[in-house]
Amino acid sequence: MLPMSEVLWILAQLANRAEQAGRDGQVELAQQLVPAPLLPRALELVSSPPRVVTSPQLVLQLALRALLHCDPSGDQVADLEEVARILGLLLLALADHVPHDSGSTEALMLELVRNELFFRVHGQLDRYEEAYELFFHTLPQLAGHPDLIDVDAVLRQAHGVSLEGFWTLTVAAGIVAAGDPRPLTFPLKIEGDPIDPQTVARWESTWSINLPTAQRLAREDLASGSGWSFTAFYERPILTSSDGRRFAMRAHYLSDKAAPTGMFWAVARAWKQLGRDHEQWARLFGAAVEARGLQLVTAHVGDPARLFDDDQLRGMWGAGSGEKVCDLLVPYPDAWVAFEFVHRNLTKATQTTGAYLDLLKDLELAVLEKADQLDATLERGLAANTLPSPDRIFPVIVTGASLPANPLLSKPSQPP
Amino acid sequence: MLGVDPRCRRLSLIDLFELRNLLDLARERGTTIPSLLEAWVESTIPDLSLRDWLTTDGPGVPIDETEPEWRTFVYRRLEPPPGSHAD
Repeated sequence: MLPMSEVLWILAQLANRAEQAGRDGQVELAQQLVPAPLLPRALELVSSPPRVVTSPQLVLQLALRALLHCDPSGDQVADLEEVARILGLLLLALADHVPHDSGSTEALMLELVRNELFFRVHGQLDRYEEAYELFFHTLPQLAGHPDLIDVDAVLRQAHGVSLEGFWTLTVAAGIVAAGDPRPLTFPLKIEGDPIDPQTVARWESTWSINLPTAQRLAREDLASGSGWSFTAFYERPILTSSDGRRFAMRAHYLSDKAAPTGMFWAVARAWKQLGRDHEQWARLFGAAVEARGLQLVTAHVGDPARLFDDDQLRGMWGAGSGEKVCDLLVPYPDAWVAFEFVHRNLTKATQTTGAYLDLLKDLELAVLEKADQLDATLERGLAANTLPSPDRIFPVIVTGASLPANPLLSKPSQPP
Repeated sequence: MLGVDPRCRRLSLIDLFELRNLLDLARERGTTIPSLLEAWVESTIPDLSLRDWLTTDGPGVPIDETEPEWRTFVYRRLEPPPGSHAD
């Protein structure tokens, strides 16, 4: 039986290398891992997504199985290269058994969403900027909001770490993890100890998962049969391996924690740990997303006379029978842009599995109701004839965090 | 209205940072939000995210070489405390 700790360590390295490699890099990886006689089949699969032998998805699939079937008390092996070659063969075998959708249009759209969910690794620094704006500028400005929560106090009470310290450490770990082909190991060492080691340890424990819990989740992931379910590595990305080593199995799952989605769920977990109501936090975060979106568009347009917020739209065109008014309208000489800002984040199920029913639920909660508000507002606006009639209209929904559902919106008149 | 009126383009879904990309790019290129949105939804890849379109078939992402405030915020907190022996 293969030793668990060595296997997980090698797979974490492979996952990172595969993440950072393009198609050429994945071919190179396959050449290193797969014996020559089997290489043609491996290369054939490299050009046949989603069964790419050395894709991070497949490497994590094997890691789930390693959690359940490798020997947790196995001795360290002398020849790691031999273990890597065995893993190469296992990856090749697994590649032919990845659950694969049919070629239907619906399946293709879903595949696009799943790919976007899993491989959305670019633009992370921009997402950090939005998290910074939301948590350190926008939320503190919502002092009069009925659902106001002191996020700093929540994190201090639940985890013993301030918001500043928590986010700073998460950003630092995320940047280092994403930029290094080697898996990031813990404890996190920061030159000069600018943040005291006890605080760093408390921060680390909030993102850590122990082996029995990871194994239980791995069993559930594999039982889902989706091929995309990685809850064992997602919510708490720092795994304590069987030999006590602690590392991030997939760097991207760690680096995503400092972005709005990761921070939203970190606070949600802390808030829940204190026995409080998730919806209160979700509503407040939603208000912050709307405030931030309005601030961005207002600053861009400049002239307040060229903007109509929901109150002005209600005054101008009424609210209709269902009180449906969009958040903001920006009229141009020949076009209208209508905005709805929405707080709804992807559920954890969607983040990790991309299962079709989970996506539909998220889409319903986040998008369809908002599309209805845009639709009703625009219809009343065109009928009222109080603004110059546009040649083009752009309905836009802005979410607080990524919701890669554009493929499912191809036919908005026929929601999926 | 949506999906029925020929003037109405397809519903677009973007996140906050893509909104910022969109606004910054409009300012940088001296164009408008409708022009950029039109180019995206009429492109061959409207099903991909706005960011994906900008970085592939689209006009690219805006370039801002100033040090962002969030990075200064993080770096300042990660500096060794005065008196530490870290070089």
